[in-house]
Amino acid sequence: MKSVYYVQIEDKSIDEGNNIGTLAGLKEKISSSLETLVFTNHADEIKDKYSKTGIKTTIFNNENYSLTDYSDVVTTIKNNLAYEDECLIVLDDSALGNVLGAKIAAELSLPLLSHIEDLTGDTLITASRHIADTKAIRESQLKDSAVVTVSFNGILNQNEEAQVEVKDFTVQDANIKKYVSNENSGNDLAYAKVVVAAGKGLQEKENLKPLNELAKKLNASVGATKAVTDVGWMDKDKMIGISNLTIKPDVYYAFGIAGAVQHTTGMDKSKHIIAVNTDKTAPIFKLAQYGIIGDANKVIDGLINLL
Amino acid sequence: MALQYTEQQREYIHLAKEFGDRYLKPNLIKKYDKEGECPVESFKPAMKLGLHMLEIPKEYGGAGLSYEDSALVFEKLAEYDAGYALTLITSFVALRCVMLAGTPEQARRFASVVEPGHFAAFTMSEADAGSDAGSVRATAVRKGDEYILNGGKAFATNGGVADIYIGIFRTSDNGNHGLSAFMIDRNTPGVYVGKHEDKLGLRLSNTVPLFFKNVHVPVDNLLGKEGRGINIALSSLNLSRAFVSTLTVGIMQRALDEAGNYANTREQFGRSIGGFESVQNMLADMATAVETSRLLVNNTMKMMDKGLSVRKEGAMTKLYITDIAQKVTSDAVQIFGGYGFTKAYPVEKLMRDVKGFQILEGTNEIQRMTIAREVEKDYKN
Amino acid sequence: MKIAVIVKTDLDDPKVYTTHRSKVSYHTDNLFLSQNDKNAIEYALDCVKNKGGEVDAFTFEKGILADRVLHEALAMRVNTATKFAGVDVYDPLQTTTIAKEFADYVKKNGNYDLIISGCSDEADPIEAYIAKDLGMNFIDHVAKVDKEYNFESNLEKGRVTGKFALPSVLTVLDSINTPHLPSFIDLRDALSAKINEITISSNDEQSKIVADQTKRKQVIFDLHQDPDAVQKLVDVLKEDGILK
Repeated sequence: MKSVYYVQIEDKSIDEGNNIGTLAGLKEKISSSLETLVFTNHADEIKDKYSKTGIKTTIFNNENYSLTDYSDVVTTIKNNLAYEDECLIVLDDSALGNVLGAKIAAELSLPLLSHIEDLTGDTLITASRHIADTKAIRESQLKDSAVVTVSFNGILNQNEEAQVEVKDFTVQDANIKKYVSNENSGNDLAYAKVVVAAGKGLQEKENLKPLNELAKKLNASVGATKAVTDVGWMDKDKMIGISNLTIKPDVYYAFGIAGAVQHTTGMDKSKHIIAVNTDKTAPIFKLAQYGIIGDANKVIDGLINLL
Repeated sequence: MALQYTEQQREYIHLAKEFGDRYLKPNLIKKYDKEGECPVESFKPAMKLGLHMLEIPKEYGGAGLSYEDSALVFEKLAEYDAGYALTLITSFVALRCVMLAGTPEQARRFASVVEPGHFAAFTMSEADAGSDAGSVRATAVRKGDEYILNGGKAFATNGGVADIYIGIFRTSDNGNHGLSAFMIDRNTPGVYVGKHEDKLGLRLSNTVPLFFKNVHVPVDNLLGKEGRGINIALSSLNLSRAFVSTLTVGIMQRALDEAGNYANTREQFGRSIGGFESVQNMLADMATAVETSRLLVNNTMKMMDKGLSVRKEGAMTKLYITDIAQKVTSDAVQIFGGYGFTKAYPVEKLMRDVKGFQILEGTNEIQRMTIAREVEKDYKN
Repeated sequence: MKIAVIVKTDLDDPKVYTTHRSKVSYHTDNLFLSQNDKNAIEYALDCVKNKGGEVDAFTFEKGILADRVLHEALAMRVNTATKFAGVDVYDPLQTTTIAKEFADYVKKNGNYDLIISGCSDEADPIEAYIAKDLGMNFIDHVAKVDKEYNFESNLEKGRVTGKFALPSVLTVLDSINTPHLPSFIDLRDALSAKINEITISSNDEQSKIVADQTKRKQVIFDLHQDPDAVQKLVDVLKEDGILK
């Protein structure tokens, strides 16, 4: 691949898109030139965020733009990239990323590979993903330009400078469609891709501070078990378990959580589970793929120092 | 699966599965089983799908599936509830009987009652006449262009929910050969339905005593000729016996599925119980029983589709399958341990349901008698 | 009104592909018409019931699955069934060809007012390409729709609402309606109904299907015995791509 473009949407009034976790993962995997293309209606407010990613960014700005205007994004991308060959266009594996990806791919007559789990290779990139819930993997060699949607999670070094350019773009008769948010859309725990959860094993409320700091580093949302919310260390709406939230993040860190079934039914479908507990017989270790037997607080401190 | 399904069979079975998943949910079945009444309203969707006339030919409004394909559909339904499946089977077996023994006009009349969505029942057994059909005492006396029926019947499956019956009554004193078969409209004056039996299992199936007090039926309702009653009864039993076998296979499959899943999830002594040899042996025996039973029923159904006599094979099928099902369902409860012994888990019901099939449609003792007679013929000079 | 429904299976059986070391085997026994496609068919049938017209079912599934899903569609009472043979609709590298063949077919045989399919995470979004080739609107992930063409499309935290005009291409979710179960008589008739066949050839690159041979061992460190446990955990998470 000669060049890779990551497409993101930032709408000041709609809470979809606006995620840069994928960029961290992309940066690690891509050796070709990487550039971010952002479509937004409030460039001034987001310029800073992208200038710190260490990745060259072009922000297409139009204050009349709304996230629901898919065709304007598609047209702009077509105008900018139509004559490039061997370019990879990357979007998030989210509802928005997939629909935009499909329309861009259709417009440019490129293959669309969605829900990609891994991109390997250098000049010749291979995109791979599991087929449904099976043990088979589909590997697709991308000999020429293509569009992919991916779900990578990573931590961006938030202090690398990057060149950011702001351009205008045309928005045709906008707002034919309206956006309505869901009832629990304010609760970002429900939609988070990475979650850090606190259990009673943390011993004291004060120990939530370092946990929150770790969560920020991991670009994660914070949740807790019922034991923790019952004693008021965290809000009840952050409780993960059978009587409140059931979530399915890509990565779930369980600190000081024993793993009672009332909690685990709320998170056992997470893709990757990492558990930390002093008790090696704790049921959480049956679910976890990774873990440490030890004091959760010590491990949290260790992780903060290492990341 | 040992049985090599045809594509057609796969699609029929899948539709039965979709029906069961949508309309026969576990909590609903548990509720009906507890109540012990036949949930008549719940059959409406089944009838919309044509499950009450599955095997009946197209000319009579049925789906016209072969016995072989119908058996597989009902095996799948029995995984949800055998009593529910039995209710449907009893209906179309009665209709089939009329088609075999009666005139086309009689068959059309009978079908016109069942097809729109009503049940049929077959009644022969009496308080003193179970296996010993020759002891049937209910009478049918000819008077002009009518017969007048009198007597009591016991254990009539579907008796309380059917709109039309085939009833076996005595027209002369010749023991077995003095019996005749009649079509009876349930609403005829003098027909009374007794108290519903509170059964151990198959509780969704309606089982009642019936009383006939001077019930007048037109001569046109006699099936075949006087004295043919026992033959008609036997041809009906021939069919229902085969289908009861397929229902039992369905129950066993369900028992195996439940036990197999449980063995993989339940842990004791630090590992899943499916790793212990004693449990593995039980599962191996259960799986073998299911596969061999299914193949046996399938072959018998194929013979019936070809029009071959299955006097011996049908008896063997019913005997073998319903006997082995006792151990299979009991082992399923055993694998579930203490939890299996409670109604909170579905396996105890499976054990209760299969016991009925050792008795209904000809007790297994009678089946052995039948088989022995046929075997004897093979070796007699 | 002319409506086309593109149908396929749900790859919802975890054993549809089994692996033994590096060998991958494919099993079709437990694959049937996708749930979302049934919703699509039900919506199409509803539309023509009121406005008159026909529903044509199409599939790109291979082998026995093509017939199977079309039988199910016919049992639900679509008017015609056609299978396109020779392509793999689950291979993203073949999407552009498949879509173009379908669009060419439509152009030759008369345009459709609506082309609908059930959403799928596994099959390619050929609908987007078909829409572009035929100059139709494409509306995805429709969670609610009525006969006046008001719709709601799902995003992550909310929905996009609007109204579409004909002709349009839609992909739908199972929340739009409750599909009816066909009767056994319908299914029996469907099994002997005619299925049209069109062969396509594809020169496209093909993806490879390989076995996932990663051994999912549990990786648990003991901080009491290994003071470097935290570092080792971070290393393993980075290696496995969970931390980047």
